[in-house]
Amino acid sequence: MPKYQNDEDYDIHALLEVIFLKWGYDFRGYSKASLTRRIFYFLQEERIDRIPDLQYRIVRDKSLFSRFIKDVTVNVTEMFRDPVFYQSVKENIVPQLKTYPHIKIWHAGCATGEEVYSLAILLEQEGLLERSTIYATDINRSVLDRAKKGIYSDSYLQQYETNFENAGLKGHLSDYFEKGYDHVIVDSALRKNIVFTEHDLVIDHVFGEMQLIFCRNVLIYFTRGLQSKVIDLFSESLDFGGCLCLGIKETLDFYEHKGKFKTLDPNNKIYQRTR
Amino acid sequence: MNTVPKTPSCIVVIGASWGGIQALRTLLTQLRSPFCFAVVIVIHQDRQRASQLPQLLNDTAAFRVVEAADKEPIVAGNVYISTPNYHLLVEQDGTLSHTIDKPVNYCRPSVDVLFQTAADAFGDRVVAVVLTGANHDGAAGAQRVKQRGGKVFVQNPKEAEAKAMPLATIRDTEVDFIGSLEAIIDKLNGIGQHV
Repeated sequence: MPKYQNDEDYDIHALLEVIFLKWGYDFRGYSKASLTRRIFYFLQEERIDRIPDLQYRIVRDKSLFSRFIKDVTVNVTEMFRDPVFYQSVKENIVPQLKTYPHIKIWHAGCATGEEVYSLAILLEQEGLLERSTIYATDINRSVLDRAKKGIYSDSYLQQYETNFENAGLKGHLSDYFEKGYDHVIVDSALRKNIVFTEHDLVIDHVFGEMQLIFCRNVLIYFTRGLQSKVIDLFSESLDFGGCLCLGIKETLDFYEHKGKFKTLDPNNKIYQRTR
Repeated sequence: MNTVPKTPSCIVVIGASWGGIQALRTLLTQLRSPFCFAVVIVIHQDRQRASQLPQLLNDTAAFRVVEAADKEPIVAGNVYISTPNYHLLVEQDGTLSHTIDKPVNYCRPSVDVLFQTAADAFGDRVVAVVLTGANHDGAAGAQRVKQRGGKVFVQNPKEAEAKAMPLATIRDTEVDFIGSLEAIIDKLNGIGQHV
């Protein structure tokens, strides 16, 4: 069987190899169907006709590459996505977090930060934010800059407010925002214990021992092989007893060393490292 | 498991929206099993509601209906259903995958995304079925299916509960068949005999 199904498949593989060689970013373990869609969308945006043309230009044009990273990595998120999950965090993780004098949390693949602030609000309500440090990381510098600013369009506010209510939190989401003309700004008290920094799950390493890792709806973009590698990284980064939260379509079921983890909530994909 | 899961010789991809649950119930009840193809369905659903749909359809269907799992190999004889708020894609290696990429045609999951990736992965071994729905999602995907040599069946807009989705596909694409749900079911049951 030929290694590549067709010319387009070959072109995509060649592009990813060249990007890795030139810029050190490794997209070779990403799921192909969605990556290919986003690359073709990028071609349209840049008015480039063919992938080989992109391949030629991207090694010579740093700003084109920056735009590629910005557009091709996924940065879709929302506040309190899957409200039931946040209920489960309160029930299954918060009691244990309360036993630590200081809490280190890694939010991997935080995109524009909506879920980071969601977690910060939950911690605040539980009296834990003061003694927490949240390391919010992403591969994409431009979304991190936006996350750091904490300024969001108010067009999704209604949806977020509904999510907030369904997550079973106290008060209103708007209590945590300052309202601007057509946007909202996250309360600075929520932001002070969050460290936003660049980190690429594919090539970067462990940077601390965490009590909690959030990595929701990132692994779905990776092949099984890369998923395993990233879960290894999480496993090494977690304290014994620390928890790992994935997206609801993600799982540790296939993971070779899944014996290291206990499942705390199978529906909301909350796992605890036990050995 | 006694037998090795069978890679399907072709896949049937189905898009449904408004009125889709009833149509899918009818279709899955009358589709004959076992077959040599797999069925992958995108249906637009209320995102806040937990998905009871696979269970509901499992009760009426003659075969296994499951909510699609990420990176799951597509197996002949199975029916896979989308999850609200996630796109559902077909990978070239014959697995399914999910994304939270931006909505397409205001929809996530989007029928276009399923159809286009299925066409890219399975080429002329794709049958796309467009059922009732109140928007134009699926029309662009059906075009791609035709470009890659697959077939497109469309529910007759006159009998669909919402006609916009079938109409949009018929307008944009030279489809292979337009007919009642029953006629489409007959066509699909016929595929099993030809392969």
